[in-house]
Amino acid sequence: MSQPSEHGATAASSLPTSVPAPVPGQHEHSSLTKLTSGVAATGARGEMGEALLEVRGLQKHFPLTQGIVFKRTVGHVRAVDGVDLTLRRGETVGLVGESGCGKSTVSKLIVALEKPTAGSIFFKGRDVARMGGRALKDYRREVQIIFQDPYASLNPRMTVGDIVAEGWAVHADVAPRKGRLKRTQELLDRVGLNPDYVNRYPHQFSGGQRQRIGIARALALQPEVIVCDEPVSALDVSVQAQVVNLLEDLQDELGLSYLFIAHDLSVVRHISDRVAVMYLGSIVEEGTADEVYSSPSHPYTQALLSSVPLHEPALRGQKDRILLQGDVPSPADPPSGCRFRTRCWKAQDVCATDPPQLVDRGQGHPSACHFAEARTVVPVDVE
Amino acid sequence: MTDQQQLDLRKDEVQAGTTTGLASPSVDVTKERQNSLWSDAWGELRRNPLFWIGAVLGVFFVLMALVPQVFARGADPRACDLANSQDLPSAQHWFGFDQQGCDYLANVVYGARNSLIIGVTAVLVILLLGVVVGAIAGYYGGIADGILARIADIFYALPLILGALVLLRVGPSTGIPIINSRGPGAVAIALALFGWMTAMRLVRSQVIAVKSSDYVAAARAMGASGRRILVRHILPNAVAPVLVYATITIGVIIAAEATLTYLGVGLQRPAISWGLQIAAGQASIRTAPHLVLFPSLILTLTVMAFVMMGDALRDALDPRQRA
Amino acid sequence: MTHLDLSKPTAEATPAGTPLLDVDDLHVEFRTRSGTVHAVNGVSYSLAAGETLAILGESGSGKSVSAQAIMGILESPPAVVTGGGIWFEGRNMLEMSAEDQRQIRGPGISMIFQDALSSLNPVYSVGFQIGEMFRAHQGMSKKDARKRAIEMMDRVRIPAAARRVDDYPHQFSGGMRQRVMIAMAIALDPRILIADEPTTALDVTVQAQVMDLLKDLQSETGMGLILITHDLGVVNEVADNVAVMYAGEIVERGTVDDVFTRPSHPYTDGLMRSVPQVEAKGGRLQPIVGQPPNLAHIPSGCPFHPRCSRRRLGAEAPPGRECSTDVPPLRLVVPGREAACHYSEEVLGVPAQ
Repeated sequence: MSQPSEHGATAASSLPTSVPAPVPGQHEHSSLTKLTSGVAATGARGEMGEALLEVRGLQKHFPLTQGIVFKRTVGHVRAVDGVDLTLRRGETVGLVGESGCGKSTVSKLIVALEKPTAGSIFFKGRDVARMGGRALKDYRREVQIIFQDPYASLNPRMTVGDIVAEGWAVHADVAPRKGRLKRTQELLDRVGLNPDYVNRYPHQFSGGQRQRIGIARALALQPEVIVCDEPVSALDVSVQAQVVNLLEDLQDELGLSYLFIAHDLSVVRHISDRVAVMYLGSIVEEGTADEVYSSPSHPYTQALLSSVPLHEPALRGQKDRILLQGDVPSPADPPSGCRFRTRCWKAQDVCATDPPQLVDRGQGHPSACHFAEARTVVPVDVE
Repeated sequence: MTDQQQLDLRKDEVQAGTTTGLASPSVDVTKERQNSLWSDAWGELRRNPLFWIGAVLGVFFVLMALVPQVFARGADPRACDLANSQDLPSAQHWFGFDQQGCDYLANVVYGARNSLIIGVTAVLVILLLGVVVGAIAGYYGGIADGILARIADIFYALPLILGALVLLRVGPSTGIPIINSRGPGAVAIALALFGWMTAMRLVRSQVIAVKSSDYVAAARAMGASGRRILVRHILPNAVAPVLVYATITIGVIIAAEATLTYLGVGLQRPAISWGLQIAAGQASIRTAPHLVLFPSLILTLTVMAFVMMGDALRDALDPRQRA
Repeated sequence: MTHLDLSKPTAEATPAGTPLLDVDDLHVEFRTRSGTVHAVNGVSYSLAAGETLAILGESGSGKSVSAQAIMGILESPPAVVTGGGIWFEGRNMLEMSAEDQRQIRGPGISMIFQDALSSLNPVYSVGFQIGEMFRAHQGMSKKDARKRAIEMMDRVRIPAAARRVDDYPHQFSGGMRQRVMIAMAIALDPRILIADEPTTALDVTVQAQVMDLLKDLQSETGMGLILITHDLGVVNEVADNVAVMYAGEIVERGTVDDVFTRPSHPYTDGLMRSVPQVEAKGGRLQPIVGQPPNLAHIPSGCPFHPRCSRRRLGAEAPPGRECSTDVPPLRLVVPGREAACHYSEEVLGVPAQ
């Protein structure tokens, strides 16, 4: 570690995007590779491994209460109401939706910060909701989370070194006490921060740098899955790309799986292998990124995609404009049948009575609409 | 782009990613040991002149309380001569004489002990009650919070002085130790018992804010125990504002002690305290203003010493305040 | 000065042609205890009736501060306008009395903000707040003002306006609150509407609705629209002209079509490359290295040079074009396009003049 920042410089930016090894200068990362030796680095994107996380029928209803000392339940907010998701080793699943659709609650359920009302989350075949003690602790080492707000997600009264190393105080077996400082510095170096800054406090860093600290904290426990809850939404445009690239590099190098939750459809398309679209607590469409973006078949997905402003002057005005009317209904009192029917231009009587299943109706990927029909709304880039 | 340029850029990417635009602090030298909040706070305190002024004054008054005879310039506070009644300050007797003709400097110096014992003890009890009750109410929430917050409300409804007055009146007739003595301990406990609610509310609201923060969620997602979260995350962030409140409260308590004494339920003569002196001096403020002036001045200095230390401590414990 | 009038190429792109607003070499500083922050350093632009000018920049680029200076809502101290002029219909607002400025705000220039909830007073009904504009500026009676408020709410397409006029801000959704704010802003038919990140806090489907509404209102009234945003897509879909700001300066300016198709400043170029597009998955993103500058310590020479991939330093650079010492002026690169870079021709791929 004589000149750590330069080592980091070459290693960080000369990483090939597809093949993880052998990387020139790998010896410099020897202890980091050791750090992650427990994880079988599947590396190359595209060939996905076995299912790591399987979410089945997940529900979370928050009680609405009145009263101060003696609370009375007057209803439930159905924040998450029947979500199915699968995350395989080495892949990135994007979960998109607008505010209030329940995507952040899904992330909290998956990292076991909230208990599901019903349904299950299987990690390598074991139900997380039934885990306790030792098993839950192990699970929490394997599944980490990165938050949206880099200002709120770091304790202002802890040094960066303490923040990154905190996981080792809980899971002492991951890193022996002796070399922790060195490992912390290696992690900082790996996420593109000067390793000499271990004694600084979060407020001395910019938003993008804080997000890197958050990533280093998540990496410290050598997780297999990282839940990224809007990790770049709070960052400046020119800094977002740095963090997105870092996440991609880390995935290639360490074989991580990401559940990438965001409202920015462009970023999700860029980073995701598969995409799930959420509306009012449930998933309305799912498929590979290309399927969902090129041939969306649920009316909501179509409306959502058509609302995204395009960056190419040449494509301006070429896309279908679908302007949705009205607002999202309250999750405390969702519409019967199909959740989207109150704003849908295709709605018929059946939509009010039968909730549509998330199945393939001939478009090549599942869509929760009785009248699913593929339609191109985003013009194809002229490249 | 040439290879050299690309290399330069890569180097920049890392360096730029690590430059904050702030002046580089001198703490970057990494040795074997990592810094912690407390070691950094101490380093910060050491450089803060406000802290040193406060600390020197504080030590001065504490020494005065411990060994008053050293500070009294050889005078005995109880050796009085009515002939000197209310004499003004002189070169021989810096603070003059009181109503009974006792050396006033000696009286003020001997008063430090009781006033400080009452102030510091009461504030320690307030801190203990406030932090423990506030942390429980804020951290566990729900019914515990509901009940504790209502209890605090009930105490709020009783004014500090009135509550302490009733307790001290009734105290001697009960069999409870300390309370039945009318000594400084009883006064301190009486004042603390009716003064802990603000500290509790401060801690409670801080704990609630910190508890729902993302960094606590991150720690929980890591599997950190409740105790660890409380000690590492919640308390350091919740206690700092209370420390400042506590230092100010020392002054309020010493003044409240004076009020209780004035009302006749606090310390009783022949005990010596600043409260008693101010209360007694008020009667003759026109003819002998020094009787109020000197104990008030010393009282103010004492309070200032604690406030300065508290201020410095708050800044030191908040890395965002550091330059 | 470096100010070049762009109204000519602008006039071709927009129907109406008289410049409503002329900002000339505006400088704004924030004087704080910890130092002087140079938030706006010599910004010039003009706006014609019916034109939409986008001011594109990241946080700390000074894009909002320049708009606040136009509105006269900068908190002073710490903010000080240290130079330049703001000409509204031929009159310099910086030399006007406070009362004259107040007369312009509302009927002349009006503004909407990012955070509609904190811009509306929670204790008054939205109808009262919209009607306030008519009562304060036109001395309208309470009853008439309420009637006009309902009309305005209809105009910004708030459903069931007559029923909702007495509702309070918290009873509206984010998109509807933004509409209420727009209704207040356009109540007096302003000549210019400044929209400061109007859709940043909104969901993408709601953003589309609000931008649509703004465009429709503009074509109805012919007002000039200044759109302050960091969103490249919004600029592309809504604006005629764009001024890209970096470190308190305009670094590139031209029509949206030109600037977005072929940027001529490395910062604009970098911004385009670093943002993923919804149209395609795209290859690896090419981020701009480093962080946006701290406005209290703006780099010497070209403020972008520490992050620039095309910079020339030391002996590499031709005389007078050393990026870390020589400040590049905002200059005409090709007709209709200005950029503040010594090497814009290189970025564009055209021979230097």
